[in-house]
Amino acid sequence: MNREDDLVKLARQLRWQLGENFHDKLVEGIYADAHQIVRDAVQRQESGATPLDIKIDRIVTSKRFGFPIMFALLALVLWLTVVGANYPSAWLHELLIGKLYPLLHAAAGRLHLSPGLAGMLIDGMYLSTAWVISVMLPPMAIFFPLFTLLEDLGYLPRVAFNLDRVFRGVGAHGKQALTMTMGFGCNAAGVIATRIIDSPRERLIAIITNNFSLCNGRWPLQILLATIFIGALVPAQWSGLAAMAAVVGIAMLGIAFMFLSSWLLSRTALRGEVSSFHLELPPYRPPRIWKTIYTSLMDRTLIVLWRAIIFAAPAGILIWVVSNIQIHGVPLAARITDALDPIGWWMGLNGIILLAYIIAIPANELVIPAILMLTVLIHHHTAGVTLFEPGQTTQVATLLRQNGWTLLTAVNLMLFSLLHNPCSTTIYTIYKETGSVKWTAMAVLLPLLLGILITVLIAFFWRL
Amino acid sequence: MRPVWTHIIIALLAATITGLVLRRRRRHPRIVIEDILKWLYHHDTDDAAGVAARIRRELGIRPRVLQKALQAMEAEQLIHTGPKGRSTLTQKGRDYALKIIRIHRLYEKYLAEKTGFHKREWHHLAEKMEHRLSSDDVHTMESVLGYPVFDPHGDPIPTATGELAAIPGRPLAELHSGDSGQIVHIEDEPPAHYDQILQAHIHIGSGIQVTGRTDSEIVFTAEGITHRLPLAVAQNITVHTKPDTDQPPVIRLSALPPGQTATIAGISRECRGQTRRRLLDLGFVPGATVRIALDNPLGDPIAYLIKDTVIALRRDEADKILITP
Repeated sequence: MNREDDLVKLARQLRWQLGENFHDKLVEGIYADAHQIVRDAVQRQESGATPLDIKIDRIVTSKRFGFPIMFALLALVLWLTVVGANYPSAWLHELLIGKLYPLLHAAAGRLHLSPGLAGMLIDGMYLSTAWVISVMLPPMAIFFPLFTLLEDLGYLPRVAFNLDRVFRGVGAHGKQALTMTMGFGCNAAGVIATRIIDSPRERLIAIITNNFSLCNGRWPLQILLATIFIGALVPAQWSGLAAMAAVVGIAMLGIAFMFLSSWLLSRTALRGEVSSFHLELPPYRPPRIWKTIYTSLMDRTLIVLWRAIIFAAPAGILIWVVSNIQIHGVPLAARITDALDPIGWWMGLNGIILLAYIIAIPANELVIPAILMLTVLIHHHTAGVTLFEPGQTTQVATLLRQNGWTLLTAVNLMLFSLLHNPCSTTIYTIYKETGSVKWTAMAVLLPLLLGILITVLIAFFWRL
Repeated sequence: MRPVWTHIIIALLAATITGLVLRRRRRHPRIVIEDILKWLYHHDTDDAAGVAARIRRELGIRPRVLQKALQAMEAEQLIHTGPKGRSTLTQKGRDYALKIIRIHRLYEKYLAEKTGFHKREWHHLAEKMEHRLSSDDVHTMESVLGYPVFDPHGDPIPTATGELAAIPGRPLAELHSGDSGQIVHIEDEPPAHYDQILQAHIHIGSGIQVTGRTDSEIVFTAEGITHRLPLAVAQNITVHTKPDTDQPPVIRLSALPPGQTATIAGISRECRGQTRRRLLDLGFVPGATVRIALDNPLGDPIAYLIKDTVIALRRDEADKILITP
């Protein structure tokens, strides 16, 4: 008994003498031993890093060529996506909505479905899903493989390397440049891409701020509104340019907000999260083109698309139901928009836009069709309306102007489209990636509150 | 058009937010007592008259609150008031104070190892948590951290039984030209002095060599960098002087010139937790050779070639890797 006590006492005394960092020393010693063993046992040809790699790296990370090469490649990828997606989008549209849609209606008529059920399924569910697919699938099927090719080649880590200084300034990781760019394709994919950031704090920042990248589903709305309202401000020959500049301006504003909120987050809510930086620059290798295209289609494009469809189909039903159910002769949608109108007024928007945003939580692509459809329904009392076709810009322009849309409405809607909650697919992805209700709520509320604040402020000063 | 209820809601929201901002927390009587105990433990002074005034000033306690707290402490036999009204800690009071100090230093260790809070924030956070953690929490924390003996500033952590290691060494301000040794402790109070030490990027565990001193300043080199500190600030750095420093001089990886190859000597004690393990995983281990692979167009981070791999590190990390050139 006594001996044991003495032993424990001795152990305690010796523990003091070990000093503070004996754990570290121990680990360091094990690593150093391993290093020694490898050096003794492994023979290698004297090569170091291959000279070609270093030569390429010297160019793509040089002061003179580093940034021009980066911006040129990014511009090329975006151009290929935007221009290239038009053609398959048109085909899909023609096939799904031009051909298949009337066939479905004919089939429903032959099966003697009740008009209500047929409307809900075909005009509601089918049409919204078809719309999402034709708008969303082609850009993603082009953008993601291109991006994955650059990744596979080994170029993307060099971009992170070049830009890290800029991102460090706001407390973020250089790799956030990549996840942000991915967000321009799809925020859900951008959030998944943050797995490449292995520092917990910087990863959370990248996840929460990804929504500030104007995603593929929001570009059509920006382009439509800029063409109608901003393009009209300047002489006709400049209108296309002015509209394009406005859309790019909104995207740039998104990047500015990304930096601002990253800076705020790293200094407030996230400052206690562990942060550690290192970045591996792997050797270049020839990309395996077919494998890359296959995996990026499977891993990124189809998964994102599938989730979007799951959410778009019920939303389509919902849109149809609120527009077609009547209470005492007034459509349900009209009652809701009336209630939302005061809030809309404060934000320089209107009740219809707010209702459209609530309905379109599943997918940003649904905002325009929902707005147009609700406008037609409520102001023209056309019964049994279906999803509107936003093909004819001039028709849409007339419709919107007739219903009291001004430049303020357009500007604030463009801003609100940039600054609002992520779509439900993205929210779900954020929850799965962070496993935390708190950070998911932060990612939802931060852009939404910012959007409300900014639109209210602009509306206030605009009306002075 | 402008609805009345919107104004009401906005007014209510504004009022709530203002209320939350303006609300001031009053310290719980127990927290006041614990703060006084800690103060008495650290200031074993004989000056009876000044004590009450100094406690009031340094801890920001109002006279009436102090009066009440001292009475309660007397009743609980935490302090003993002598003939001249001088309060000294009883054994029970000393144990209590040590318990609070133990929690404080363990918590600072926890913040350093397991979270990303900046050094500057540790003290403030630990000041709050030392009053809140239960002894179960403390025990869990201690075992998770591997029963540490020193906190990240180099202060000894009292054990559960109240034992306390002594820090060997002398204040840097007392050293003379030619003295050398190792920094074993950096005091984090007062904040103004601590900020100066942080801004100089002086790291705990660094070997130093004093190269000169004047009446107001001391000049020394640490990890290849020459520092010049006012004596008042140098008083807050404790150095364990060693007569025989036959170890080769080390510099920081961030100071490695392009084109030169160096051997890694180790990782600074200032580098902790996940970052430290990552650097070891990547191959920054004693004995490995390293050189610069790529410069950065914006100056930071720099890519290093280590074990045939190109790894980019920011200056902050490269500062904490020590090399022999």
